[in-house]
Amino acid sequence: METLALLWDGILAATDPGIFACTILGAVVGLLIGALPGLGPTAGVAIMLPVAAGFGGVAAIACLGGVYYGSMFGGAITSILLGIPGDAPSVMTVLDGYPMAQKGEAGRALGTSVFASFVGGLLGIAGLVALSVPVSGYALAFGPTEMTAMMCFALSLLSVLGGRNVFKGFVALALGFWLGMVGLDPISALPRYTAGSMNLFDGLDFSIVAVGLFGLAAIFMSLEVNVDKPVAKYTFASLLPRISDAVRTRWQLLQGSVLGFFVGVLPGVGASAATMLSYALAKRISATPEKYGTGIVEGVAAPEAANNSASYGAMIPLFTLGIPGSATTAVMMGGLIMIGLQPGPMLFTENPEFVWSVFGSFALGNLALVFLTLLLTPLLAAALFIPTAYLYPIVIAIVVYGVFAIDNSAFNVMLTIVAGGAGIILARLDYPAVPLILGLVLGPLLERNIRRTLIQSQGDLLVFIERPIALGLFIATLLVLLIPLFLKLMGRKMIAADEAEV
Amino acid sequence: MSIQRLDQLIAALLVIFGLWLVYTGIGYGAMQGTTPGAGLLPIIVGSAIALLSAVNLYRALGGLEKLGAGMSGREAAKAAAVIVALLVAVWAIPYLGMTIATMLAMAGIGLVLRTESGPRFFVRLAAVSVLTPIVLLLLFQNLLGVPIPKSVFGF
Repeated sequence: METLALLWDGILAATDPGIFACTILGAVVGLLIGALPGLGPTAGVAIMLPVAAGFGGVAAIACLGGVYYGSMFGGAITSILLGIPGDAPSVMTVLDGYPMAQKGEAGRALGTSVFASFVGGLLGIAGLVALSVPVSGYALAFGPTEMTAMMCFALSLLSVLGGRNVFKGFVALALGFWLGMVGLDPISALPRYTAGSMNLFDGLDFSIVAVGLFGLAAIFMSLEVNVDKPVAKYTFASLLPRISDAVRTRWQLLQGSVLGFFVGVLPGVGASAATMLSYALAKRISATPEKYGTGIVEGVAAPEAANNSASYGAMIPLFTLGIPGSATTAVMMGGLIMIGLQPGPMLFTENPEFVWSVFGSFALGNLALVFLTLLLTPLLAAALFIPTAYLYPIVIAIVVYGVFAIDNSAFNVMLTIVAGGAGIILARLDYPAVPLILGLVLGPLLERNIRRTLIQSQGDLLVFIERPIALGLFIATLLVLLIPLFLKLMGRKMIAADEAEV
Repeated sequence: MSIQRLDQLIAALLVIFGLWLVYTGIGYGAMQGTTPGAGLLPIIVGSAIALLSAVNLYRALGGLEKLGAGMSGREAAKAAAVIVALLVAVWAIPYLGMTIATMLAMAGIGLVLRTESGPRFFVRLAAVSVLTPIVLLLLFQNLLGVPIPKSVFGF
């Protein structure tokens, strides 16, 4: 009950006009980003990051959160109306959404997707609120040794699950660690890898690299994406969700939301995998599995509930442990750091108003998106036809101004562009960008923790396995590292995860 | 260059890069008595990059790595042109100011991405390229208080 009271206070705080306006702005931008083929939630959050950081406090994170879950709503529009996934988490929506549109039921499919997204979001927020407090309370007992072990566990999961080639996942992680070393050494103050440039003495700003690696790289890789397919016809009245469909899809909604949430919590898995698993499960337990893929509302409801729920599940490791489990939450972590907050269990004890106001803004944004999606669908469908020759220069200009505004530095803008170019090469060669960016975020923390612990123990490595939680986590890390070997022996393949969400 | 050849090249470069990291790490100092030095992590990370990239190089040379089609020459050329346009604009900021540099970069990028011809395209692109930086100038400078670099023309 106390948690519900805190959430209610948070919702009231999020009704502040400034915070609410930023939530809506983020949600609308997210809808657009989600609808545009080629750009996904990570790119959207990365593009908005420098701009949102200027809003400060709760408004900044409310805006970034709005982009994240807004894009989950928006992706379905393109999937249903054009048969092209707006973003990776809406790939499964195409399977039944587009056939429904071809049968003249585009409005019904869109209405179902909006309702499913809302239900998934609602249950996801409930899970986020219910689990955050106990997990953060438990994490408060973690010392530097346990945090080191937890980071190793999360990073190994990300590297193993994040891409097709595990070796490349670890190379990307190591490159992220190296980027995190650039600047003055945190303990001896020795400059490392700065090439004598004063601009690099403070290290590479994570947000600048993230904006390039996810935002600009996504744009650079979709320069030729121009929509030239006709949009399926629908009427505004047909968009309104039907009670009969809600009743008919109740189990798919529940199963998709619950599965999506728990898959979302796992580092390195994310919303795309959640939708695939949810769709597969819905089909498997259905009495009429042969109807899936032919255009039925159940096939739209299951993945749409799952991807929205997963987006909130993915925020649990970020807010409670300070360890982002996906690319999008990693970029959101950049937002928290830029406004002067360190995500982790202390956030709940030192800034409870902030945390609950942010969660409150999620609840408001989720509800507002139902109306925004219904109202803006015609506009978003029209926006899909804006040629990239007009749209991308505008988006790139916003990114350039936003990145410049972080430190009033043109050097940062140049670094972002270089990171964008590097992002193309990484993506094309299957080097996952998520471990790289998390290596950059967590590498300096990990190095500091390891070195401080070793200084205290006078170089005794056994200190890392003396405490039971740390030992358990290190054993779990070893098991995770062996996953690819087990899968190979069993002849199974992994589901490619969050990397495609960019 | 084919995507497979690029994969081989990058893997080979990463092996060299990893070894260089180990070398620089030794220079920074791995241990000072029982205390880990600034070079410890570079040595570990460099070794990992060199070793894992050697595996990747072996896989790439042996044709074990299955990659997508990669970018077409046209896509790659467009991406390169956009990146160059942006880098030139950033370089020109101290001379032209951010507003004019952005206007020129936007026009350049729009021309690179052009899919339609005729005067209507140029009018629209000019409008987008001129209006967007002005709106951004007002937003960032006046609303958010960011000191946007100016040209000799005063904006």
